[in-house]
Amino acid sequence: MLEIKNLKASIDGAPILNGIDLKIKPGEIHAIMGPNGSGKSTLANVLAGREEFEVTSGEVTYCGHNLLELAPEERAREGLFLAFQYPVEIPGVSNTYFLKTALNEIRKHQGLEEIDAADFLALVKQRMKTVDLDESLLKRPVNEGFSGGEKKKNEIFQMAVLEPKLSILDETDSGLDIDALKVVANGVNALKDNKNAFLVVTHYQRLLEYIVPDFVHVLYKGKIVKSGGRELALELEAKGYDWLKNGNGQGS
Amino acid sequence: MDQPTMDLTGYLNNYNTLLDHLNGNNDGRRIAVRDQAFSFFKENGFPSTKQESWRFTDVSPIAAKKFIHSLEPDENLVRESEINTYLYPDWDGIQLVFIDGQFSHRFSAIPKNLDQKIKITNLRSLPKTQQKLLTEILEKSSAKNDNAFTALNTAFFSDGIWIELADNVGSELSVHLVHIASGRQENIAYFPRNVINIGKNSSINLTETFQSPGNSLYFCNIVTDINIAENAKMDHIKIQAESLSAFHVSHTYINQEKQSAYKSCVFSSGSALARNSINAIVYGEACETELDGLYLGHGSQLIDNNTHIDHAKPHCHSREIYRGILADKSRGVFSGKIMVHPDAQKTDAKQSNNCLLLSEEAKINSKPQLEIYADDVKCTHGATVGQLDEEALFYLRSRGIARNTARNILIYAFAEEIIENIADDKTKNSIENLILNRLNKDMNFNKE
Repeated sequence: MLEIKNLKASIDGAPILNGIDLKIKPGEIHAIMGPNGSGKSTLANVLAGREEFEVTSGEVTYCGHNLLELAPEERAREGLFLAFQYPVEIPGVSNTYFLKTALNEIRKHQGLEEIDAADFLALVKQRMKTVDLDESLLKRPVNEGFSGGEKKKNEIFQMAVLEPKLSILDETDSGLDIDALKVVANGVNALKDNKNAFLVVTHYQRLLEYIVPDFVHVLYKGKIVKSGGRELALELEAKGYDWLKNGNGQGS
Repeated sequence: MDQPTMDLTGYLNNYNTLLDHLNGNNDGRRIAVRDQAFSFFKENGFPSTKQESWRFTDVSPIAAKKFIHSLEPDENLVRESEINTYLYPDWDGIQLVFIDGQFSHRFSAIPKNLDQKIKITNLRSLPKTQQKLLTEILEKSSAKNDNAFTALNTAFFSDGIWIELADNVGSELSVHLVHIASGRQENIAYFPRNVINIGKNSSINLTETFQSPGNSLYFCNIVTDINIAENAKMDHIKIQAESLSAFHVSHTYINQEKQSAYKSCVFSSGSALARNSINAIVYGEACETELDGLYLGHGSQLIDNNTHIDHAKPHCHSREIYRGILADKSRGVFSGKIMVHPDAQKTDAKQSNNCLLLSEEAKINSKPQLEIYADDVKCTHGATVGQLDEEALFYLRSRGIARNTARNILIYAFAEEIIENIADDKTKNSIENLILNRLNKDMNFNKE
């Protein structure tokens, strides 16, 4: 589904990603862990198409497309989804209108008819339950006045409605209490099947107790320095990121 | 250009010849007011950018032009099918049509069974008793010597609407004034004059639209005098969507008596140069004054909103929100003066002007002006200027929404706060459509 080869990216001339290789197949959950400043969020944002980052070399193939050539909206229509670390507030645009427009753009791209109002409402109501979001938030402007937890839940809610092929969760767990964390994890687990995939970017192992990854990769100084199974996350948790800095970050 | 090149000769030559044709020409007092106003114009000429309230609005394009004064109504200038596009279909209010500033009897419908307490007539058809009243209003109006435009209007007006509501008119009256510029002849100037008197406890919704089927150059210079008596209410919406070559100058003078409410929304998307001036004199206690505005500029349009609220008495509230969206090389001017006199304790006045600049070359000059002579008041003002939020744009795009659509959604959302305040659905729709046409994109704005 996704193949990243030697991806290098920088912002304002400063290199952040220094050669990333990663392969994700349908049905898999990958976790990317690493200390602050290791490039985790940059990787997530480069994949989603944020233009501030300059890709200096490498290739990314996604579902047969050269991902780096696609505009952010084209990536989304091809089923790529980024759950933002800091979801944006958009005054004046209702959640419902926003989500319906997004869903219809994606459906149009897939050659499907626009969803009618009743079907949309039914879909939305059902998906709201999975993330325990209050229905009144739908009518409110996107993320405006939402609590930190509501914003993150709203990301997962959007994901549940748009049903992406590849979901990238950018530190969705940061700032969440344990209940909200479980809700987010439930959302992911409910959506997971053998056709879609997840890339979970996180600083802590905590989220991975609820979203069980098939693979864990450790990012350090813009490179994946270690890959392994779920146990790697526990090892990191026990030893701390200093363990990497002490020269254990080589090989995998 | 600091000093406009003025060509007054056209006006000077016209004045004496036209006077005979103007409304009320056999009334000495009426002629005296017109003379007085015209003398003011002759002496002062058009305002220059050296004058503080015209600092950012150079009117030399108007001053340099020779205009032909439209006097005789000609209802055949615009096709009926065209006129129908400007009317609200299935609307239960009264719709009155003016073509090139002249009342059209053919296309206007004043119901015959109108409440006796309501008088709606065009100025030309005004009965004698009201003609006298009109002269008195002209004599009292600040328009006669406020500035060149209002003086010219006083000197040259030949038609307009007279709306008079007696005290205690039970039902709320809704009126749609449809001003259509025929665009048949270039360089037409017209000077509509409206007089609106609302008696105690009565209320009116007035929507004025200014539109033109063509793209021709003309000059609409309108003055409206409004008096709102005790506990009366007026909801006043103006939609200015003139031809993009036209000039539109409008002055509205409002007197508010105690416990009255005046709520206005000025939407401007048309004309090469537009100046909307609102002057609310709140001389009664416990009044509400709300001035909203939304302006959309593109190309090289200049849209100037000049507002003035005068709080003379205690316990009054005023709220003012103006929003601008400026593209290309367009320019916006907002000037909001709030005067709080020593007696006006407990005044609560809020003002804000926010502007969205869509290009590097678009420009806004925003000038809030608070003059406060009372000590127990709450007055705030704020002005913001910004570009589209790139973060929000990326957020929308990351969900599959095309860049252009995302941009339009954000622009529309910026305008939304003003639009949602409009109570009448037809008017709201008509403004929404003008915005959507301007955004010119298939945005699919189906709102549930």
